[in-house]
Amino acid sequence: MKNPLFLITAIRRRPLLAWTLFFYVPVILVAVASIIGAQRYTEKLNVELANGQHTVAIAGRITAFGEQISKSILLIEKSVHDKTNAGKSVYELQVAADRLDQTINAFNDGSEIVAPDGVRFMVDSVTDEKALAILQEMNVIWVGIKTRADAVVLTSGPKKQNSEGIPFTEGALSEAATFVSNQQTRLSEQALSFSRRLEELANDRVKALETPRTTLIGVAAISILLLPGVFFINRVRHARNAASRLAAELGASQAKLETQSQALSIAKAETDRIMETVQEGLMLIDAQGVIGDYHSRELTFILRQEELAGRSLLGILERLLSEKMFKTTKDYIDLLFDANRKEKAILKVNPLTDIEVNFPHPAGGFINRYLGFSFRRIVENGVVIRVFVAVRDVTTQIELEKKLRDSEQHKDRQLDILLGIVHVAPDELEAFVTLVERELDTINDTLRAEHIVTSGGQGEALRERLQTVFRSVHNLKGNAALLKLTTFQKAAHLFESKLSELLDRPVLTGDDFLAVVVAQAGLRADLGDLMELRGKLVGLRQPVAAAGNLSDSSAAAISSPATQITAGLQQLVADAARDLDKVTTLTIDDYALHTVAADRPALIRDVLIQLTRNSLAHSIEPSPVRLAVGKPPAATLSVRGLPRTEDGLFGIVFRDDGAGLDMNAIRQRAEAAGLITPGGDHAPADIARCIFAPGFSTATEVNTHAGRGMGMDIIKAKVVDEAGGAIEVRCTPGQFCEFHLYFPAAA
Amino acid sequence: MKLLIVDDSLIMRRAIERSLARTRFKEVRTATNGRLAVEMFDRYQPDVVTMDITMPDMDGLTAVDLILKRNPKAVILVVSALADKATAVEAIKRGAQGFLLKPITAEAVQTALDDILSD
Repeated sequence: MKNPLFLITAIRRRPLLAWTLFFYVPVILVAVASIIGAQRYTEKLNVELANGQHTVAIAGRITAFGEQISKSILLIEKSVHDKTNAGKSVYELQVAADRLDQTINAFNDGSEIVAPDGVRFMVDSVTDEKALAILQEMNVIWVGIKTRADAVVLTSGPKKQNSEGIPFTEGALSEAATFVSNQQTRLSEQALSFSRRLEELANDRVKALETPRTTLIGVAAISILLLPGVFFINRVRHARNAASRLAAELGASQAKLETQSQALSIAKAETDRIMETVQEGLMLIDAQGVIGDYHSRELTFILRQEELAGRSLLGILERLLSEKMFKTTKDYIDLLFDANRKEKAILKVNPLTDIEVNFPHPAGGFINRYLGFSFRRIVENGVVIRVFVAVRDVTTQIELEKKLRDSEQHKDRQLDILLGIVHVAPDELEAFVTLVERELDTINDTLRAEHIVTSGGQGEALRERLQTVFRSVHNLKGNAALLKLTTFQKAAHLFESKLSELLDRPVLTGDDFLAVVVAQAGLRADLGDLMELRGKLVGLRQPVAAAGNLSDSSAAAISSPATQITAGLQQLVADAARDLDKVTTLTIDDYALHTVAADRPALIRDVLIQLTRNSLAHSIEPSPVRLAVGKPPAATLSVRGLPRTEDGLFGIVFRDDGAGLDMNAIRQRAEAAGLITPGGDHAPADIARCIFAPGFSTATEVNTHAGRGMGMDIIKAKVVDEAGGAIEVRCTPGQFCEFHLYFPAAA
Repeated sequence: MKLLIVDDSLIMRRAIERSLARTRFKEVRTATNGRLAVEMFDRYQPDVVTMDITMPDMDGLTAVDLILKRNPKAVILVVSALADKATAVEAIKRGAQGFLLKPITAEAVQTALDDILSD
């Protein structure tokens, strides 16, 4: 056994050992312990800082959701009032109400909450008395709001939605909107005090951790300062420096930590707020097109999908875009991630600036929208690590542009019509309107669905209907040309072209009539415009007529049907002669015309228009041709009276001194159409009669004046079938052609 | 520096030529289709090629492929009126460095050439 005094002796002999045992070791232990302790507190403090920020941020959302609920209900009310679809607002209302309910319940009972950034965060139930009092207050207000919100969602849930809107009662909605709007203000006030109180509590907790942490850092610093001791006097300065450096480092790192955590939470709160409220779909995608954890809430509305984080943007787009567009998009995203390509060049060729997409409609079918995407690279060390994507729903913008274009076109059209009708006498215009209405009614009747259906896809029956429509349109076109209403003339010509195309098809189906119905609707719209403008013009014209001091006789002359027809035909001859380069004079026996036109002005007018147009297109030769065959260069058209027949019919004769009927051409056409037996011995009159068959024409070129093979059948239908008269054709090929028209005297 | 303008339309070639006033290009050659463009590229070794897409004989995209096969460092600016961006994306994908939409302006040509030559 050693002497118990050994230690003292030893210390006396070796003072260093004593110092080591009684001073250095304990001091080092204290220093290490306090440093470890300070670190622990620092960790705790960081957790507390983060928790505090989260809790306060979550409490702050109560206001945002409350506002959203109030806004959504107002929007739903507006939608119902405007009878538009409230689907999106109802959805937003539901989401906001659910989230607000979750949030308040989390504070009541303590539960996990998904923060705006998608992070799950555990909210502790509130225990502080002051905070609890505010929470109770909020609970009461929330129950009131929730009842309304639930009722609105329930009466307008997704199942009850349809494209026309939702069956709300406007009164109940209005009550809910007012109530929620008032209560939401109260809720916001309470939420503000609540989050302030939570912030106070968080601050207290942070302070409670900071005090021991600072103490421990102090102890550690002092312990380290003490370490050098007496024996290491020469190292004291060094050690002191080391100690103060450590203290400074600790202080600095703490300060850094604090500013960092503060800056981070501020930045995060800001990001969250932006992501929550920005009216644009924002996201980050990686090279595989996968959407990152952060994206704005609006994105879920724009892409009509929840839970977007981690999903592939390309996968989503694949179902919305056409195959070709999707391939381009895929290539484009590859280019965006290819750091070797210049971003500037790539951004210029963005193929998705206004892309049409089709979302499947919950109730079947598709919802058509336009989306505008823009992209920016995020580069780190020369590598494109992410691409920032912003997407907006630009449907309204594009629809507005389209509407603007349409309205411009409509305006131009109205101006055309206006310019067309200012030179037309009011009663002539009246007659034209009546005629267009009549023909459109005929067309409409012919196109009636049941007729098409009863025709049961039988090609010939449908073809006949089309022929009827064609005759109406052709007549309309002739009259429009007569009055120089070019808008109608062109519209009718286009209509005819469509009909010709259909008639040329080997097989006709009911679906082919859709184009006809559309064209018919277009003409009717033009007629509406015409009538509206005519109404406006009446007001303008009357003062002019009064100022013009027209005599009674000239007024009477203008209103006489025969005079009007004469003036119109003269105009037609002038126009057609100019367009077709055929110089023609027209002479009309006014008395004879008056006799037949008095009882049936519209019919006579239609017939004479067709005859004149046919003569100009088919019979009259260009001046050089006429000179070559020894005729005067100007052709002559005439309308004369005929003696009354034994049957008591009035007659007029329409004559042109053109080439007349081309018997050979008519014969060929008639044989081809199966109207006469090929190669048979036929009298010229029998051949000539073929021109009255529906769809018969020998003109090789189609123009607005004639040549569609319609016209003669209209004349026959009108004179024989409608008026109960008769037609005779007299023709000397190369010399002249006469149409003798007979009408019964008026009853 | 040398520029090769490839376009079947004379107006377009002139328009591009006239836009070069304030650029570094002092020597300019032209070609009227893709096949001639490739021949000219071999003979003339231009620093930059402006390339139309729709041309007779050989289209611009094919010419871009062939030129880049000969010289992977060739600098090509695609000039096109094509409204669908798919073609533009395709051109860049095949290795063109820039894209310019017709109708062009002098400023647009200058900016596009500056962009394509800056690194």
